[in-house]
This record gives sequence, structure tokens and C-alpha cells, in this order.
Amino acid sequence: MKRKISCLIMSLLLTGMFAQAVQTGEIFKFRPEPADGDEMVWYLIDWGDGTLTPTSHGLAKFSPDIPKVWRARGSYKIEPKSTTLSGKIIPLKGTKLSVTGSDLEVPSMIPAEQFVQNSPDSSPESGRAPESTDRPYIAQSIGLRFEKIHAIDTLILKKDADLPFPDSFGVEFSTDGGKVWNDIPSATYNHFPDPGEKEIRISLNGLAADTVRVTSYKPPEIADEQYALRLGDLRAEGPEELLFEMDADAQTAADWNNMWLVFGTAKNEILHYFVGYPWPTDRPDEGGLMMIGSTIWAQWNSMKISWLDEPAAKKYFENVVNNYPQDEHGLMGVSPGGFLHLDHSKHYVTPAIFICGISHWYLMHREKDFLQTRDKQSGVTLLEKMRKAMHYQLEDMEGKSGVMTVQDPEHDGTAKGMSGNYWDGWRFGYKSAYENTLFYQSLDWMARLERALGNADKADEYLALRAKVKEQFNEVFWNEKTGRFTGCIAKDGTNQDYGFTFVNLEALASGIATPEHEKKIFEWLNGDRIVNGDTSTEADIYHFKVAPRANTLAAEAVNPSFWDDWTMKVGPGTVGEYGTQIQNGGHIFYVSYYDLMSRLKTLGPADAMKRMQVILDEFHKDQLRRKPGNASGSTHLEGILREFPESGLVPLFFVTGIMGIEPDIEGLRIAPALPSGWRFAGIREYWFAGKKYSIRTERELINPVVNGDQVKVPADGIWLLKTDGTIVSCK
Amino acid sequence: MQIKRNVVLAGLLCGLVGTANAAPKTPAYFNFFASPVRLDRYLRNMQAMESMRTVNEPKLKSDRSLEMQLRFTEQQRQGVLRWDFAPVAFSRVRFSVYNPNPERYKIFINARFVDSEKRVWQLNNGDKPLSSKKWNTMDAVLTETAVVTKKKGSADARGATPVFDYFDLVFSVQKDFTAVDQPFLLYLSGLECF
Repeated sequence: MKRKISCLIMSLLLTGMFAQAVQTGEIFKFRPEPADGDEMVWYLIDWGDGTLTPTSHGLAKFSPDIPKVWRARGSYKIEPKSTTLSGKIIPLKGTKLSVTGSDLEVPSMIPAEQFVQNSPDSSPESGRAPESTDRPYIAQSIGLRFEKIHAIDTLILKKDADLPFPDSFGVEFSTDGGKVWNDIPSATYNHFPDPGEKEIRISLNGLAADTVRVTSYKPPEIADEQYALRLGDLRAEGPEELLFEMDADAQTAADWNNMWLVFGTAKNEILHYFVGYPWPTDRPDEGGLMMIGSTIWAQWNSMKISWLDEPAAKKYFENVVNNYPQDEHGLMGVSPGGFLHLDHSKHYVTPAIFICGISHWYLMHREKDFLQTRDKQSGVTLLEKMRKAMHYQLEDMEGKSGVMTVQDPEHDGTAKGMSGNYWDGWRFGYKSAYENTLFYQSLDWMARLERALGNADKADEYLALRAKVKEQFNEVFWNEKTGRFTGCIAKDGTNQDYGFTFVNLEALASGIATPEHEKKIFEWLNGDRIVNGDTSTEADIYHFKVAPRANTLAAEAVNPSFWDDWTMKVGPGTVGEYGTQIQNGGHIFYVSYYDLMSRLKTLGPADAMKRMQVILDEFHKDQLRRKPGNASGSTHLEGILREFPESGLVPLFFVTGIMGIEPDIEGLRIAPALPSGWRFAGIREYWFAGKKYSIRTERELINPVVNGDQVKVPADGIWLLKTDGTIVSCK
Repeated sequence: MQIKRNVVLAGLLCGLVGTANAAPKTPAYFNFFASPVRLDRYLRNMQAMESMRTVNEPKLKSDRSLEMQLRFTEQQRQGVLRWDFAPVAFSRVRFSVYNPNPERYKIFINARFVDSEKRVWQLNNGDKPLSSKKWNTMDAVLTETAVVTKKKGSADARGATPVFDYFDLVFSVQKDFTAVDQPFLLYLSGLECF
């Protein structure tokens, strides 16, 4: 009998006869059933309250969680449908919803002037309707100009009372009053169904803009062979305040915030899985991504998302890190799937990355249960895995000697060795500067974790070793001839120095270099010093502007080469020719994070901001949505989009560099480094130890102020926000 | 009307039109380079195609066209424009190429559409080069006109409308082409897929 009742309840739930319930003001999430099929699809939700929400497109076997905040109580019938990219509309199963609570006020609209454009290149004109044309593919726009930059949460549009709604349109925006326009990938539609009298509410997730427009690339036919864009209404909602507030010009602030929106949270991206993980989106929809679940990204993932209120991403991260395999010695697998990177090679840097990532995550959340969660396969707790990983570095890789060494003969760092870290085009192994930089970082993070857990002796041990590692690093890996750190010393003694900017900059940012070495490295990178024999020198090192070339000596310049040609060959006329491949003369954007942090630390905020301004200027042009190809069709020249969620580290420089926020043993360390012209900087929402804060630093403030979740600290000084919400000076 | 005057239905010359009927009003996919999206997000210029950019002239159906610069060499007599799609179903294509070069420079064109089953749907223009100083319009029903090459194990091409991943527009010259190592411009009006 019980079973029959259960079946009946399940059946009723499935058929939607039991309405779900939600309070006004709460975030309600609806996930339609996947549409299925070979084509990609996008979803349109009719909420039953006179509003429609469209999504971006993705794989038809998935569907997104679509958020909605209800403002009026009542009973609603939610009716979803999907549209394939070719225009086939598929009705989907709906549900009923009961909304209780008090009716809420409708948010106020952003004051705006409406304008129209008769073509994308024409000057904006006041008015509500572009002129009609006899050509069907003349794009036309209707837009809003705000008095200043706003964070736009929602764009609202309605159909004209008499004329057809455009079935093809996209939302575009500007942060400079309309001089440069950019698209919003998630807000581009073809085959949009007639909305009737319903209001279309397009989520823009806090996009910073002072101008926004709806552009129809094929305006509807409003009379015989006459085409024109017509809308009944166009409005925008959202606050004046941006997530990152800064005492910079409005365009800089807007672009910096939008860089985080693209490469940090990836909220306005087309995501083929409808979430910013677990796997990237393919051409032509490549864009920003929130994270990738492999071990290699564990530290970057934590840096990016641990301070956000993103429960689904948190759940994903905490689940996936428990699925990284670990062998009996302590070496970590590269991904939940196994030990080999793309079935090719082991990565001996994974124990360090794992330790850094998990320690950072724990210190941000302070949830001890998390450290006690057990590996799905082995049953070993996360904390045990971390300690075992550290043991592996210290003992099996001889890290306790001061230099960690890859003992695997397949990874001997010679021209016959296999690649062994993120930079999988190069044969890093044996005594590797890249691996040892991460080892050095892992000692710091493990020491913080152990001290936070009450194990001061262990922490002291790691810190003592850290000093030894630093000393050894500057001796073993410093190349006097080139005046920079080498990539690795191979087992046969070969010094594999190809001018690796990523090795040197991450080393500088980690604090492992001596002041003399820091100076020498920046002389080389800034073009003040030419390294004899290098392929790229002086200003050419920053040829791509947004980041230095990965290496300044071509892989093909040395024979036999340190380049691992398992994916492609290098040399003239090849796919991997210097300057046409991200790892050989091209660049990966994330390296700029370590560039900025290094400059901030060694050369000061002015130098770091000079570099950041170049990046922001480039971002302003096209949001860095850059994917140039080479003559072979390979688009691996600039590593910014798609499988590079670590691009989000660059805008994160505002949080970890300018604001100087980082989790520490007893709380959140805040060590601001304001640029000289700035009086303040702040973050409107920052989550730490389960609490939401707004953190701001002000130059003229003398003492820190805590008022509920509002934290203000003087720009001079180092501060500690403790887990109980109090703040103390670190000095 | 200017557009109609200038259009040369090269498809008629090349046998590409097939049984194309009046096109539906809204294409399954279209792009006339009107959005601010960077070209390299969906286009790749390969081999002898050196570069591409949008220009305002010449134009056909919209305010812009794609200017493609090619430079054929003795070794590289083929230039390719690869156009990536988010998988979308269609069976008919229409596009126009403007050739501003003298008649004596014979440039050939063919198009290869690759679907999600990795089948290649090829439209050949036979031995007809692009007409000079004119728009050469290609309008074809793929399911009726294209030569389909399927990979071993892939599904048969008949039946449901194919879902396409990308298409290659291939420009080539023959061995008697003398103007090697010189840059050439060609223009693409845009692309409509129904």
C-alpha cells in the first residue's frame, strides 16, 4: 500500500499536479526538461505572470536552472519551450507554482534616453523607430543611453502594439557612450517567437554599461518589402554600484568589472553545458568559463570562486576534488578520470596544486567537515590525501632536500623526456623550476592549514623548509648567462632555458626570487636588457599586449629541442611555428595575473597599474574575445577563451592585488595596495567563512570600521578580518 | 534595383542552383557581418588566404561584406575560409562572391559543408572560374545537389535535415595561373542557410 501511495505521489509530482511553492523575494529556479536532438537549442520560459525569460543556447541534452524572483503572490503556470537554432519550436512540460508572502515593489528603472540607429555604423538619433529600408539585412538598433555607468541586471523589451517583433536580434553594449560596441553572447537570438503582449526580461547579470542597444540583424517586414525594427518598450533595471568599486574613471571601472563578468563568473557567456563547468564551449561560441574540474585547476578554481555566493559551483568543486585519484605513494591524478593528462603523461606538480587549492578553499570557508569528506574510491579523507601528497613531495620527490626532483625516468627533463605539467608542449621534468615554484607555494598553504588546525609544529617545519627551498631555488635555477630562471635542469645536466615568462613570473609572484633576481628578470621582460640569442626581445616580448609571449627563445631554435611534439611539431611552416602557437611564442592570458602580482610586489602599484591599463585598453576594444587562427587553421595562438578559465585571474588582480585580500590562518588578510591616484577601492559582495561582507579600503581612513557586513579598512596597513566578523591590525 | 542588376546567378552557370525554390523568410542561419562580433570568433582564414576584414564596399544585401586577401604561391594554390557554426540544421545555402580581378586571372571556388556525422557535402563549380567584376551567387539545395562523402560508419545522408558544424569556402587556381605571390582581393556578401 505504501508503495502504491509513493508511486501515486511521484506520478502527481511528475505531472505537475502538485504545485511548488515559493515566497516572494526568494530566488526560485526552474529547470526545464532537456529538449534533446542534434541541434543546439535555447529555452524560453513563460512564467505565467506576463513575463518571458530567454536563455542562451547550448547542447540539447542539457537544460539550465533559470532563476526568477517573484514580486507578486498568486498561482502561476510555468510554460517552457525550446527553440532549435534552425527555428524549430518544441513545447516542454511545465509546472504550477504557488507564490506566497507580501507583494514587493517593482524595482525602479534606470533613467535613460532612447535612441535609434538606422544601421550599426550610423549616428544615433533621438526617437523610437529607425527608418524603414527595402533591404532585409540592414541591421537596425534601438537603444538606451544612461546618465552614467550602471550595473544592468535586466533588460526589458516589449513588442510594438501594431507591428511585428523581430525574430532575430542581439543585445549590444558600450562603456564609452557608444564609440565601441560589444555583443553579449548569451543575449543573441534567432527565431525568437512572437511574445504577444508579454514582457521579455533578458538577464544581463550586472553588466557594466552606459549604453545598451537591441540590434536586429534582419528587421521584420513591416510593409511590402519594407523592413524596420520596432519595439513597444525598452527599459533596464539595475543598481548604480558595480561589484568592484574603484576611484578610477568610469570606463576603467566598467571594463574591469566586465572582464570579471566574462572571465570570472562567465554569466553572460554561451555555455554549451548551461553552466560554467565542467567542460568548455566550442567554436564559434567560445568565451569565458568559470572553472575546469581537473586537478591542474584546483588552486585557480578556489581563487576564483571561493569568495562567491555560487552554491552549485561550490557543490561541484567540493565533489570533484574528492574524485582526484591518488596512488599509494601520494602522487595525484591529473583529473577525476585518471593519472595521465590526455592519456599522455603524469603531472608531478599535481600534489602541490592540490594542496594549494584545498588549503585555500578550507581557509575561505572554515568548514572542517569538508576536510573530512572521503574519496569516493579509496575512502581516504581529503586531509589525509593532502598530507600524503605533501609526504610524496618531501620524501619521494626529495623536496626535503630543498629541491624537489621528478624521479620518473620518463620525465627526466631531457629532449627525450615527456611533458609533465600544464605547459604540456614542453618537457618539464627532473629538477623543474615550475614544479618547485608550486612546491614552494604548497609549503606555505599547508603551513597555514596546519596552523589553522592547531598543528603549529608541522606548520613551523614547512616554513623552515620553505626558507631552504627559496635559497636552493635561487642557486639551482638561476641562469647567470641569461639573467633569469631556467625552465628546468635535465637529468643529463642540460639547462632548459627558453626564456619562459610563465616560469619567471609565477616564481616572482610567489616571492621565491631574491631582490637581485627580481630586478634582473624585469629588466629582461621590460626590454631594458637583451638576452643574446633570444628570438623575441625588447617590446616584441609583449607583442600580444595583453600578456608576454610564453617563451622568448623559440622551441625550434635549439636542436634537439625541449619541445614535446606529441601534439604538434615546431619549426618554419609547421602548426607550432614560433609566434603561432600559445606555448611557443604565443601567449596564455592568465600569466598576466602573475605579471601584475609580481609588478605590484616588486615595482609597486604604479607599475602594475600601467600594465593593467594596457590590458584594460585592449579589453575595451573587443572584451578580449580573440581567437585568431594560423595558416593551418589552428586557433591556438592566444590562450584567452574556452579552456582557459584561468583568464579570470587577471581581473581578480583587483581582489588579491589592489585590495590585497587572501585567506590566512586566523581570518581574511586585507593588505591594500591602492594606486597613487585612488582614494578608495572596494568589493560590494565578498563571502568569507559563510558570511557576506562588503569590503572597502579608504586612503583617508585612520581606523578600521565594521558595521554589520560593511567592512572598511585604512589603505595603509595590513588587516585581519576574523571569522567572527571582527577586524584587527596585523602589525 | 542596384542589387538585382549586379547579381549574376553564377549558380546557373555552374549548375549549383538545382531545384532551389523561393527561400523561406527567416533563414535557419544567416550572417551579413553586421554585429560587432570579431570575425575570428567564427571565421578562419587558412592557407593562401592571408587575411580578412569587413568593409562597406562592395556590398550586396547589407551594409557590409567580407574582404578576403589571398596570395597564391607555387606551393600553395588553395585558400580556405572556414566558417564555424554552432550545430544548426539546414539544407539550402546562398551566398555571393564578388571578384574584382581581371578575367584572365582564373579563380575557382567550391564549398564543403561538414555535418555532425562528419559527412562532407561538396558543391563543385566544375571548370567555371569566378566571373570578373561581378557578384557570383551560389544558391543550392545541398540535399539535392551536393556530392556527399561519408566517413566509414557514419549514418546515411538521406533522411533528416543535416546538422552542420562548419563549412569551408575553397578558392583555388590551376597550374597555369601566372600571378603567383601577388595579393588578390575577393568579397563575400554574407551567408544564408535555410
